[in-house]
Amino acid sequence: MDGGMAPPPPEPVSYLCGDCGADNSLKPGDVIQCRECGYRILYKKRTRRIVQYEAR
Amino acid sequence: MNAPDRYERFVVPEGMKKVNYERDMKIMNAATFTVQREDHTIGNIIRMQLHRDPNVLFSGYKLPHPLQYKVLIKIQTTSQSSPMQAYNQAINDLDKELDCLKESFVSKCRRNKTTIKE
Amino acid sequence: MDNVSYQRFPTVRIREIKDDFLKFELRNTDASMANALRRVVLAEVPTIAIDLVEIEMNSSVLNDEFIAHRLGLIPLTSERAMDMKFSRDCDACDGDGKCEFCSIEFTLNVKCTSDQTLDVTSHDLVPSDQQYPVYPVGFMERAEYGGYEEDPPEQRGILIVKLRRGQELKLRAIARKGIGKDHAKWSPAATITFQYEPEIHINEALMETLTLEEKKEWVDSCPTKMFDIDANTEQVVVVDAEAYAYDDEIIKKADAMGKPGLVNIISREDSFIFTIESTGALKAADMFLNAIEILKMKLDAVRLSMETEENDDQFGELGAHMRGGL
Repeated sequence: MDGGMAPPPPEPVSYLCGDCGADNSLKPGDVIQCRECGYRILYKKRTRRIVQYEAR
Repeated sequence: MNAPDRYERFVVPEGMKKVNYERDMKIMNAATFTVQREDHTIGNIIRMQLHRDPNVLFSGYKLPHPLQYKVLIKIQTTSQSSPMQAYNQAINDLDKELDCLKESFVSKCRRNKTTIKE
Repeated sequence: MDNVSYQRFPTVRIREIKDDFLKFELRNTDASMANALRRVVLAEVPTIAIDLVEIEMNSSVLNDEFIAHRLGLIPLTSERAMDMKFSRDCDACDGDGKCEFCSIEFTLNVKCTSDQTLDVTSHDLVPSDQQYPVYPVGFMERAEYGGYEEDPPEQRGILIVKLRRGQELKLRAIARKGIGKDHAKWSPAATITFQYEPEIHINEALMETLTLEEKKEWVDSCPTKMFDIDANTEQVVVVDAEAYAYDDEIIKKADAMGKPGLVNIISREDSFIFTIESTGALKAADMFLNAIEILKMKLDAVRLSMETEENDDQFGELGAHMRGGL
C-alpha cells in the first residue's frame, strides 16, 4: 500500500562561484556562499547528460 | 504551429497511392490525375509535353493549395486517344528526352576531357 | 499501336567547365524542362550533411543549438550520396537512423589551453573510419595546416566557433543523406540560373542614318557593355549579346533619339544559358547529371500502375483491345 520509500538524501551538488570560478560542493540547507572568496552568487554546472539536437 | 512537417512535401504516407485517376463525369474523354507529394517540377513538365500531342484537346495542371502537396493534371483528348494513353505517352517521351539530354551532356563533357562519374 | 513520339531532342554546348562551376547552353528544349532541371538541382539532388548533434560539453559563447545549426550547414563531400539510402528507408538499423550504412559519424573535441583565441573550424571535425571517406569540403588534417590567421583563405576551414582559454567544445555529429526540399543545408547548389538567349537584330538601314556621335551616344546608353563601334568600319557591332539585362534602356534611347525600331531584341524560347555553381559538396557537372537521373526517377514514380489502367471501365477495355488481346 505504501507507494515507495522516501527519496534518499540528495548527493552534494557542486556549483561554480560567480567571481573566482571555484568549485563549491553544497548540500541542501548550506549557506549559499563561495568557500574561497565569499561571493554569494553561485551557478549550477552544465548537466552531465548528453543533449541531442537536430542540426536544423 | 499548424505548419506541416517538411518531409510531407515528398514522402507519400503508407496506404496512399501516388497517382489517382478520376474520369470526368460531364465531359467525354477527359480525366483528372491527382499526383501526391509532387509540385510544379513535375506538373509543368508533363503539361507542356501534353501540349505537343495533337490528340490532346486540353491539358492543364494546378496546385490547389501551397500547403497541400499534390498536383492535379486535367487532360481532355479526342476520341482517337484517351487521357491515360496521352499521360503515359507524355511520360515516355519525357523519359526519352532526358536520355537524349544526358547523352549529349556526357559526350560534351568527355570532349572537354572533364572527369565525371558515369 | 502506332509508335508516334512527340519527344524533343535537346542539345548541349559547354562553354566553361571547372570543378565547382559550369556554364553551358541548352538548346531545342522547352522552358518547362529547363526550369524542372533547375528546381531539381536546387531541391532534389541528394547530398550528405550533419543532421544530429550530441553535445557533451560546450562552454563556448555560442549556445548548443546555435552550434548544432552551424554544423548542419557545413558542406560535406557527397559523392556517396546517390548510392546511399535515406535514414528513414534503411533496414539495417534498429530505426534510430545511426547505423553505419545510412549515416556517417564525426567527432569534435577541442579545448583552448593557450592565451591565444582558438578557432574551431571544419578541419576539427574528425570523421570516424568508414569505407568511403566523407569529409567537410576542403578538409585538411590538423597537422598540415598552420592556423586560421596564417593560412590563405582557400585553405582555412569553415569557422564554427572561437574559444577562449579554458573553454571547451566536445560533441558527436551524425551526418545523413537528404535533399534540399527538406532543409536548405542539403542543397548542393550555391547558385543555379538560366536565361533565355537573346537575339539582337539591328536595323541596318535605320542605323545608317545616324552620325558617328549619335551611334556612340546610343551605344553608351546601355548599362552593360553590349555594343561597340568597330574602329575601322564605324559600324555598331554586338559585343556581348548575353549582357542584356532586359532593361530596355537602349530601346528607350532609340525612341528618344527619334529612331524607333533601331534595334529589335527577342529572347529565343528554346535556347537557354545555364550557370551552375556548386558549394563543393558535388562537382557541378555531377550535380547536373544527378539531376537528370532524379528527374527520370520522379517521372517513373508518377507513371500509372497497370491496376489503375485496367480498373478504368471505359478505357481499360479499350486499352486491352488496342493492345490486341485480353
